[in-house]
Amino acid sequence: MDYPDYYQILELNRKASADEIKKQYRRLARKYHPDVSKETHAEEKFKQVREAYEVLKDPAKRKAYDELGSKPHGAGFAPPPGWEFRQAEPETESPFGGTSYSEFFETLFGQQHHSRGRQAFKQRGQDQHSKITISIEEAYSGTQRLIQFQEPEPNPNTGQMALKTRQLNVKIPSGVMAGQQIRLTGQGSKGLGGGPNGDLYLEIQFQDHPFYTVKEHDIYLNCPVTPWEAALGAKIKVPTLGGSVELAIPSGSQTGKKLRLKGRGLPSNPPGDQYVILNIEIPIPQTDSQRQLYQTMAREMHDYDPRQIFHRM
Amino acid sequence: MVKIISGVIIDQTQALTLAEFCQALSIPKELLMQMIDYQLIQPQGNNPEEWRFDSISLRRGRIAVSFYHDLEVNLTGIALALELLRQIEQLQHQLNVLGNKKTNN
Repeated sequence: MDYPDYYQILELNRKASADEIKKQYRRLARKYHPDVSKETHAEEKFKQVREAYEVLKDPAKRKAYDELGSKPHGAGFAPPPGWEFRQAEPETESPFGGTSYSEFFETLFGQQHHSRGRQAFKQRGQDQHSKITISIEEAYSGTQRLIQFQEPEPNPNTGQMALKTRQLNVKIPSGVMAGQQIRLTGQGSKGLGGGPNGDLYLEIQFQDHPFYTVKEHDIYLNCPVTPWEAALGAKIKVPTLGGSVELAIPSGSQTGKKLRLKGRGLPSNPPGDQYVILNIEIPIPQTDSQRQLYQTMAREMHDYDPRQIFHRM
Repeated sequence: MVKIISGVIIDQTQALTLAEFCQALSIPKELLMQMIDYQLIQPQGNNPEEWRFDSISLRRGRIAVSFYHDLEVNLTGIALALELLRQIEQLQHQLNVLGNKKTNN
C-alpha cells in the first residue's frame, strides 16, 4: 500500500494553516473538476485532491496522518498493529457521499467513515455513479463491457477496511446515446444491517471517432468531394454505421451543403439520420495540362465573382 | 467468466421518481426542491407525485451536486455553470462537424 503525500498533492508544506489548506483545495478542485477540466487525468487528480482535503481539513485526522508519516516506512506502507482511528465527535454527514478513496484512506479512516449505524440500523446502501466509454460502432450494434471497481470491505477479524475488486459484465443495448444512464439495480454500495444494496448508474460516453460525430441519435459526416462532383452532380459511396451507401450529390452543390440519409443514424424509434456535410477539396494542379484546365475554367467562367458581397458595401 | 447483467436505460419510459432521484444523488428532498426552483433540473409532470426525471436530469443533477459540495458553488452559480457547459458542448459539436474531422488531409 502506498503512503500518499497529501501535502504534496495540495502543493503545500507540512506547516500549512487550515486557511491555506482550504484555499489550495478550492483552487485545485476547480482546476481538476472532471466535468469542467481539460487537464489529462483530471478525474484521478481530483479524487486525490479531495481525499487529501478530507484528511487535512480535519485536525484529528491530520494529526493521525502526520504521526504515521513521521515513522519510516520504505516503499510499502502498513499501519502499525492495533492502529485504530476514533474521532471524538463522529461526522453526522459525509459531504462526499458515494465517492471512492485510496486503500490508504480506507485502511486508516474507513472504519470510522463507514461505521455509522453499521450494526444498529438497517440502512439501504448508497447509489453509485460511474462512466463507461464506448465507440460509436458499439452504440450502433450494442456491446458488453467488463467493468472493474474497488470497494471498501471490512476485514471480518480486525474490522479494518480493505479495498476489494469487484467485476461486472454489463450489457450495453444497441442505440444508447451519449449522456444516457444505465441503472443496475442492487449493484451499488452494500446495504447496512441487512438493508438492501444501492443501485449503480453508468453514464454512457462516446469515444472520439476519426470521421463521425454524434448528436443524440443523428450521425454527422464531413465528406470531401471534388469540384466536378459538386459542380456536375455525382453518385458517391459514403460510409454509414450500417455499411456504405450510395449518395446522390446534386449538381451545383457548395461546401457546407447538408444531405440527409434518413434512418441511417443510431437505432431508435424512429431511428436517427445521418447527415453528410460536403466539403469541396481543390486538387492542386501538378502538370501543365492540369494547369491549363484551370486556365480554361478561368477564361470560360470569368463572369463568376465569388466576392460580389464586397462590392455592395 | 463473469455473468452478463442487463440494466435499464433511464429514458422517458423508465424515468426516475422523486424518491429514486434523491436516492441516486444522495441528496435530501429539500435540496432537490431548491434545484428545481432554480431550474437546474426540470422534471416532466405537473406535481411532485407525478414528477419524472430522465437521463439528462440525472446527469445535470450529478454535476450540480458535485459543484455544490466539492466546489462550494451556490445554486445561482450552478445554474450559470450548467448553461455555459451546455453551450460549450454545442459549440464543440459544431466545431467537430465543421472543421476537425476531414477524412483526408
